[in-house]
Amino acid sequence: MSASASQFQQLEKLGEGTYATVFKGRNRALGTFVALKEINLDSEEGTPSTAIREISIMKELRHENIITLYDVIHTENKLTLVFEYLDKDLKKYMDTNGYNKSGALEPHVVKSFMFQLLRGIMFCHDNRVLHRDLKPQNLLISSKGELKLGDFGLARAYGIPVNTFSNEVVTLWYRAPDVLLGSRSYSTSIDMWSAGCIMAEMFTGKPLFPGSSNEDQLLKIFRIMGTPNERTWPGVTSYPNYRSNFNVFIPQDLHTLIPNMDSLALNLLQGLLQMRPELPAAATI
Amino acid sequence: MESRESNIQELSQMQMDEENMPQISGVMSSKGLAESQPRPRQSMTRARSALTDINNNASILETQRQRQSLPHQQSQQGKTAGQLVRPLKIRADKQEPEHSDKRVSLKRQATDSSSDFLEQGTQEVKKVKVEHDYTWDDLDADDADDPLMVSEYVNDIFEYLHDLELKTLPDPNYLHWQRNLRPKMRSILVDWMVEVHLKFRLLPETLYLAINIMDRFMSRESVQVDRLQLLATGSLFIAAKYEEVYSPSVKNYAYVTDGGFTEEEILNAEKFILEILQFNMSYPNPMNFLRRISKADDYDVQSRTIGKYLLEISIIDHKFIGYLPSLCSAAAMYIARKMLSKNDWNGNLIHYSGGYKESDLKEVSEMIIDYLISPIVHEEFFKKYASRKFMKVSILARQWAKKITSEGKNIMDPML
Repeated sequence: MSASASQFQQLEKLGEGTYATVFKGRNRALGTFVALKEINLDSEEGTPSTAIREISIMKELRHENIITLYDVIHTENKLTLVFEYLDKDLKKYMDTNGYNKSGALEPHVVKSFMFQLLRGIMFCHDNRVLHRDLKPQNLLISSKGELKLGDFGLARAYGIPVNTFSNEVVTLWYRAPDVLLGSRSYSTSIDMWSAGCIMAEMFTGKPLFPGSSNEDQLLKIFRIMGTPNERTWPGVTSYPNYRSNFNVFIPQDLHTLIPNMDSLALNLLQGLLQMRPELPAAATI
Repeated sequence: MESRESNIQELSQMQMDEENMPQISGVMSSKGLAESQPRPRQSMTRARSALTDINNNASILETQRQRQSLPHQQSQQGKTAGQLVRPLKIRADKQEPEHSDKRVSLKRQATDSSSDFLEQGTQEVKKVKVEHDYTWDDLDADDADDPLMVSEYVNDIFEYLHDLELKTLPDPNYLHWQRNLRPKMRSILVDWMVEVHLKFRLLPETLYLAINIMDRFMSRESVQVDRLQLLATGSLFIAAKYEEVYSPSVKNYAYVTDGGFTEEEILNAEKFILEILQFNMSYPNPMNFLRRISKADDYDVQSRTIGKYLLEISIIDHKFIGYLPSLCSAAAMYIARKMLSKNDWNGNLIHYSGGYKESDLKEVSEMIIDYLISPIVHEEFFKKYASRKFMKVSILARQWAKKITSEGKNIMDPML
């Protein structure tokens, strides 16, 4: 099981994150491709907590809709995670496969991807794991049309009741309103909100809430979902980042915004995009 | 952060319990766990050398011989019968230590016939509904509007946690076959960990995970006595990184070893521990089981606070190594409720404890009572729970246990 770095030929760089660089690699013996995530260990604080969590969690989560961690190569000053390699992420897939170069996907493709996304999320939540960074760039698509959840760098195992965690999670555009409002006691709904944003983006080819700051993000959400108040969301005014002078918007009809959804898709999207954390549909299939 | 800094300064006064040192100094080579005088540094270029006894391979046979002649081995015969040769094989294979058959049977009895199938490894039987001879209420339904209770997933999650607890169980015999180690040393270590954990204001989960990491490490690797505190420090360092939102800096850990270990040594230890455990931190924290049972006890804060103390005994006292966290949690709540004159162990308590009936709890409950009536050996642990924050429960529990014992009663007596 234990691999050494020389087993793999390092190819082009696939991406660079805050604490890791990902390369495409080739297994010299088998000729197969892998993704090599290199984590620098020179930090003053040793192994990053994100790496400890990611490896421990990825070794537990074996599922067809979750990227497989094959191996971990531990050397003096570097940690290399050897992952299953998939051709592209959902972002790139939309750029190249969207119709009329709009980035929008055909409804039947969205349906298949959403089914697989929700299966992957359900498996995480069933195994007491929150992903906390779902976005098109972290969903990998194979040439056969399989979708798999990747990059568990922000993932966490949770207990019951779920502890308070950091609110610096999830890329801004996919971050749930209660987290934006400063909540640190979120749970599985945090991933469901992201799934809703991703679903809308697949239909239109454009991010649903492309905010530029925490504040702007909330306004972009309120503009479509309506500005919450104590009547529509009891307790909303007690969140740390709640402001009584938020611009007041009335909720828009999602169907008008995304006309090519059928009623099933609309139902699902409405279930996922619930601002109140107690309301989103669970990823139960 | 400022309050944390000042806490750490208080730690500068902290020393390992010096009075305990002479009792173990004979087996600790020339260097005590708490020694603060300068000593020659070993080369730290290889993480392995930081913690292990590299000469150990040659002594395997000798260890095996010792194992059969160690005096305290005899007293443990009941618990370890039939497995004397297992640790050697496990170590040779570099496998995660397996639970003993005895431990399995404890859980199995509790979860009825479905578990017998499980033991044979047939997957599909997992879903079979089993007829129980007790009834329970669906208390999760009340949590539907509370996202933090994840009621849609709670049953799947606990099923999973019960699988995981078997996989992350330390080897109950490691203190016997580790030729350098004595139970007393682990005792000093865990008490020191309790103190550091308290000073750093870490989550309860972190202490449980840290001790599990340390126990699993020692189930697989030999540790030099003068490196034990480094192992404990590294275990706490890793556990905090896994569990905490903000974990203390390595500087703070070096500080609390009082000059014993440098930051570099702690980072090397971290690396080595992670390598040996293959980054597996998937230990099902016992606090989850305790809170689950508390649900069937109307979240009574008194019994849960007592239960927390009693449950912590199970990671502090080495005799509990190898017992399932869920079983220890059930026994802790069983005793806590008896202390409060709640004598019934009803269907809800059985169900939400993971299927443990009263008779399943006898062995561990009696071990906890034994601990409570014995002289205090873990001072810091005792002091922590003697505080008002914990309702002075360590004092109360010990008084209560002594009282019922002096009255000739057994913890399993139906009315206490």
